[in-house]
Amino acid sequence: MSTLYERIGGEGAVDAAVDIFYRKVLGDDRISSYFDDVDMETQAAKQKAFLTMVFGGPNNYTGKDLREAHKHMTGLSDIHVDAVIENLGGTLQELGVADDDIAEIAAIANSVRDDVLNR
Amino acid sequence: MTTIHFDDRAISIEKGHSVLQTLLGVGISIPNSCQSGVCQSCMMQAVKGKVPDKAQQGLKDTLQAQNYFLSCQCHPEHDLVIRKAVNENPGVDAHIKEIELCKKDIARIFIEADGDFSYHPGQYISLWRDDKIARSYSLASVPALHGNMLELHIRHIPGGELSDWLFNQAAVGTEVTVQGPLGNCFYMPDNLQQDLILAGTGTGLAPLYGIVRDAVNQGHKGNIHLLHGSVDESGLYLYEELVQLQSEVANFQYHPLTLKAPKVNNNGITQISIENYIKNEAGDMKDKKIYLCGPEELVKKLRKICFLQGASLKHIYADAFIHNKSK
Repeated sequence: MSTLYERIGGEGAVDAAVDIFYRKVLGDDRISSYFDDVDMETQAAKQKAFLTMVFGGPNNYTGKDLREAHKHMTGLSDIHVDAVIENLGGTLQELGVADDDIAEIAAIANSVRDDVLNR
Repeated sequence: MTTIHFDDRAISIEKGHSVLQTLLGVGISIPNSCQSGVCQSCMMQAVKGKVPDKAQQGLKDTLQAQNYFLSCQCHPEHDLVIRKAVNENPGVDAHIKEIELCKKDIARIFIEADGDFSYHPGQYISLWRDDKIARSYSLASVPALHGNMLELHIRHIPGGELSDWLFNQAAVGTEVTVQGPLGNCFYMPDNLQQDLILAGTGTGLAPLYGIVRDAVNQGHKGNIHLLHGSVDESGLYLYEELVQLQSEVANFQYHPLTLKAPKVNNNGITQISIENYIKNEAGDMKDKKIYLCGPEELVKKLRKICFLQGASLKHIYADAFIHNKSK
């Protein structure tokens, strides 16, 4: 039985998803301002790490990394996490990923919500 | 057993270990984070030897061309000589060959390196006037056309330690040191049909002029659009040269842009900001290669605009000029 990561196409799928996902995030007024002052290349590498994690791929992402990365951001709340997960779903639909797999990916993304929000 | 050479040390790699693990294992500190080939913080450069393809996966093509690799993903089959990603080489002696004043505060400076100096047009160097003072400038020349003659475009910043000296004291024959090159904003001939868009303001034209001439020289077939922005016409240096190049090269188009209205007749100059010109005129940027050079804030803004207009991040090459606050 193949893993989620294999089913959706592995690293190739991550590469295809990064640009689409990042473009959606930047175009989303709810969250785009958090990305105003970041270096886009560095940010794209981080998005790739995030997508690899939620696609169930090989990664060393830990809850501690996520807490560390988000703790300086003021006003972060569930609305922002929802927006990210929504954009993630939109990206996967665009790439033709099956609904069941999208649900599984969204669940993984949801599982780190408390880390991101430092709760 | 495979051996890596680093900083005059020869270190053998244990089976199954990466270059990163090996270096960390013998107490050499290398920045790293994800150890999964994603974050790119453990990037190093091979000076000699063949880097496995897997160790370059995900890196920008201009980094691959310079033998950069991710040390955490590198399990070499052959010996490698490697160094840290940002390497300080000692520099090459050179001397000023010609100073051509283009506009009142912009000069083209031609510097002849006394030995071989290899680079890609669009990369930058540190120019040392003595052993204390150096500034970074981009390369507008093309090695295949100009050999060891390096062309830099320098704006005179009153009080600037290097530009003041260049404009007021340096002369033909003055000795300098050239160190580098650095930077990943240059032409790669991997797809001759792709359209290129190059945009910059002020002396951001220097790297772009180098990249345009390099692409033309390497037989690029797609359209090449050069957008040069300035406050007024006085900043559009190289105007005649670029109009001339446009008449000679069918797939090259020069777009001079100014914020203020042109004085006499417009001579093809459009009164618009470079941001708005890209928004209004450039259209869908999917599958185009984008080169952006100029002040940091502008480059940031343009990168975002181009990305939102469909350009892929891996196809956006940028060189942001960072001002030395101490002048």
